[in-house]
Amino acid sequence: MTKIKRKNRYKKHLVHLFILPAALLYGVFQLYPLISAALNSFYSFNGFERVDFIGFQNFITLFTEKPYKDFFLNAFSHNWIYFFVTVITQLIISLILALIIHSKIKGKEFFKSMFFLPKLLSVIVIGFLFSLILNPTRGALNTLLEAIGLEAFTRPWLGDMSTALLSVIFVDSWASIGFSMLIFLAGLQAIDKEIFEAARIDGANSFTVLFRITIPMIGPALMIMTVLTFIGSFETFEYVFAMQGSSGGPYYSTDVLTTFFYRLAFGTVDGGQAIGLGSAVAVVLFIIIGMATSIILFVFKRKDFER
Amino acid sequence: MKEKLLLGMFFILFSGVAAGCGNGDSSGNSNEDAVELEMYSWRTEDRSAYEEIIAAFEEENPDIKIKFNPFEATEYNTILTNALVSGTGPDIVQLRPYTGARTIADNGYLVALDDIEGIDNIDESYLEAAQGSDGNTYGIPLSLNIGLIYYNIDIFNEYGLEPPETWDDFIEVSQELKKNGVTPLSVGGREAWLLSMLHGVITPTAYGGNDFVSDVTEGKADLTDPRMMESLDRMEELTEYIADGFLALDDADSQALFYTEEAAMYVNGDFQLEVLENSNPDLSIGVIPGFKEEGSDDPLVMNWVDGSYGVVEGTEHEEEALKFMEFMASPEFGQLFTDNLSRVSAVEGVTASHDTVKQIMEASEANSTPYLMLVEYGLGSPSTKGIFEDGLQGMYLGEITKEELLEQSQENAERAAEEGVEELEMIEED
Amino acid sequence: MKTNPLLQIIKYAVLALFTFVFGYPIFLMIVSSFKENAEIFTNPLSLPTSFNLDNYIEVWEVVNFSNYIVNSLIVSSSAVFIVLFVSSLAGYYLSRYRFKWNPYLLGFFMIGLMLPMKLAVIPLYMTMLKLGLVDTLFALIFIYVAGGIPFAVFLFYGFFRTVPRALEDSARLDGCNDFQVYYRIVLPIMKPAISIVGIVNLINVWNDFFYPLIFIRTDSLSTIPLGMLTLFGEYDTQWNLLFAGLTLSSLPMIIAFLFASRQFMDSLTEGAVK
Repeated sequence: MTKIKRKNRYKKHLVHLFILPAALLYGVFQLYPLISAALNSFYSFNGFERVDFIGFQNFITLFTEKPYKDFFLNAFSHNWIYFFVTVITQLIISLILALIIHSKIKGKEFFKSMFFLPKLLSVIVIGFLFSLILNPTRGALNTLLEAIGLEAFTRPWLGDMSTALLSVIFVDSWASIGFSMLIFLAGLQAIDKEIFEAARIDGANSFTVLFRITIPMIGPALMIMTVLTFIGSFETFEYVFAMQGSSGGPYYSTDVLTTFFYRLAFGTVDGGQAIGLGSAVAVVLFIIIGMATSIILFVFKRKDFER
Repeated sequence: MKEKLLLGMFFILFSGVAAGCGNGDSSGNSNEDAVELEMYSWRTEDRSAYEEIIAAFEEENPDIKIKFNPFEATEYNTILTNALVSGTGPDIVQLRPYTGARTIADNGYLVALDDIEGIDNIDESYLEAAQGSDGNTYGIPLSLNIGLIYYNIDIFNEYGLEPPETWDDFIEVSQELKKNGVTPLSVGGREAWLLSMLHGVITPTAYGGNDFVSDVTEGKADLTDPRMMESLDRMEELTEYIADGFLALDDADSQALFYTEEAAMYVNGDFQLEVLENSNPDLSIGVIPGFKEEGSDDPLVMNWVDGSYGVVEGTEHEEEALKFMEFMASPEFGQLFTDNLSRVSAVEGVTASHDTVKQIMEASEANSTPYLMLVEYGLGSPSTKGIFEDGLQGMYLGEITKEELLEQSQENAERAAEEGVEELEMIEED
Repeated sequence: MKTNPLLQIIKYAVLALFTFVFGYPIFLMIVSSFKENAEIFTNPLSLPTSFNLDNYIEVWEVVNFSNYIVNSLIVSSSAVFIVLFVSSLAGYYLSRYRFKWNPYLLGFFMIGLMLPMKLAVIPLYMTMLKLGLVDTLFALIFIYVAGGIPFAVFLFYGFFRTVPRALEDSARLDGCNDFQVYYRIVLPIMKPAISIVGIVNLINVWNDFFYPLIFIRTDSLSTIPLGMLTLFGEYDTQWNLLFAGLTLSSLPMIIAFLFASRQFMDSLTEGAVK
């Protein structure tokens, strides 16, 4: 024993090479830029150069001055809607699909592949494809609705205050359901089969099995997915940007915090930049997401204790 | 052994990556003697036309090569900002008109062009679109943009309609078209900037044209003025005649409605003429450059200076870049530009061979008014133009009233003006 | 075990519905790519009147596709490989050695998990510039590696903690040193974790358009999604060409998936269990 230990100690300094490359790459290309971006929120800017350190002035402007405070609240509320709707359209649907595929069914592999397919497409492709599908005059969706006698449901989907945000969320979910379905399937497969057998022998019907055994057993996975969905809903950018542009049109009805950030930090086609204010939005976003992530960590820790 | 192998691989991998880094630098000194200039633009659609123009320049100046590098218009500002702040990359850059160019010039990223040969070929008022707060000119304006109503001559003939000369004519024509089941007007309202454009094309005769503009510049009127309200009344009245669900259509969609002859009229800048002609060569396109004011023989045409090109301060090849600027200010370039792109050049003395372009050019020379929103309200983050056009979407959707729209826009204009003052003071402190 | 026939019918009905929902848009994209432009506009749902490859040939001629594919391949394979390599080492280090700074290191990596990197793109640009990496594929590789590390380290760390140490200890007793233990014992048993990290990163990197947009200037260095954006700009209203481009750009990933979908799915589900 002692001999081996000594040998290990001799080589020990080499062990730090394990952590070095990851720490270095991540530190230089992610953490440093993030911190630097956060610090920008304490400066005033002239165009794109830091001018003065102004403390919390950017945050005060953001929360008290028009039009920023209205934009902020509007975008913030949309992130919440994004979250709640995604829980239904993505999590619940993917859980149902996972449960069905996990049950006795033919063609499991086909359905799994089919549902996962959209995840392979680029947001660019998806955004463009759905802009056309949802087009009011010649889009496939409205044409289809008319063809099956549901004219009453046709809408200018992406041009209506009440449907634009929902449409974007549906498209996002369309692309993401396959992935969360696989995570749930993984959770389902991990449940010991003997538990089900025991339950059936006790005479439990399939609904009892579902609600008394299956759902509680994948509870942790559901919890983690919910928090991940929360983070995703607050970081969401690509779909809104690709489909509705950086101002989250029409009339800001799809504006979220990241698009609001984007407009301020990079300017619009004819609007100037406000990097300091934009960075303040980013910092607020950091804080919101940081709090949610702490919840994830807490859940993970508890799961570890349970084992 | 294994261990050493692994460690060795590890170092080779990372040193290899590090060593590789230096090779891909973009400044790219080619082996030839010619100096290569890099030119940034947002006109991806004009790539081939630009390349022809550049070829003409390179023929005269064999020791200079120009690489035309266009980016997506919506991302251009970000890319340009990054490139300028970093001080590497392009030698020649395309500048957004008015406040866009001014911001960049005031930050000291551009070379003043007041002394270059041929700059007097360009009208003084056009140069204003590319001037800094110090009054120096930092960009050579390329073209004059003109907002228009395009109309389908065949459809108009079919129903015996004349192109409208006044707002009242326009309503009459639209009613007639609508009665016959033709969508009178197609507008891509999903892209808010097109609503500003629509406002600029349709309403100058409602807000009183140049009188109102000069009242604004002199501070005698603001956006809450009753004349502005009249222009919004007109915008509202228009709703009936625009394609259904137009707030869900982008520009490409609304163009398609026009060139597939479902809609009889389409509003946009003259720069879309070539696109429309290419999309459907059988289409007979007419233009209505604007409406007539009472007691005037010439329609009031909204025009503005489009992007200009400037030279980046500190470029290694300033001399060569300035040579290209001189070329851009020359009538030769103006002619090439007009011929290749069917656009109206900012250089004086250029004649258009394309009949429609000629018609547009003459109308604009006869009687014109600036693009109010762009020229007077482009300032701020967000800009008042942005607030106004997004607000127009809100108005069409019934989210805000016309009064609220004007109030919000005016509020933002005041805020933006203050913002601008602060910036200037800070520069003086430095 | 008995199954309720009505329930089975409902299940298949739901699956059929979703097969349509997920498959139809992709089907539409492929079908539209064979149509003529006017046809797309007037008959969005119909099948093309004739199948020919004209649109594809035209797009292939105007767009530098082979170039884009090579760039995308270089960027995604190197980024995924480096992420896997450095993160598994880091995850192993964090879970197996008890240095006093380990909790802080873990926290250090966690920060990256919670913060969207897009918000830091301006300082990131400046960093790349100082290193002379703007407009090189290295810029993209480094960004994707850095962006992939937190999730990968987190997953590997969790994975190693569930793997019993007994195996490694016995290898040590046989005289293996740390690297040998890692290489011979640890690597082989972590295949599921490697697959999940690899696949998630591959999909993200392959499809990203944001960073190429900011960091790549030269057309010959464009990746597929960036090339697509240029195509959108230049062929604004020629939907037939756009659809052909979209289909072409999606094809490599779809083909790879069809060939390996089983392994792909299995490793994803297995990996997530751990």
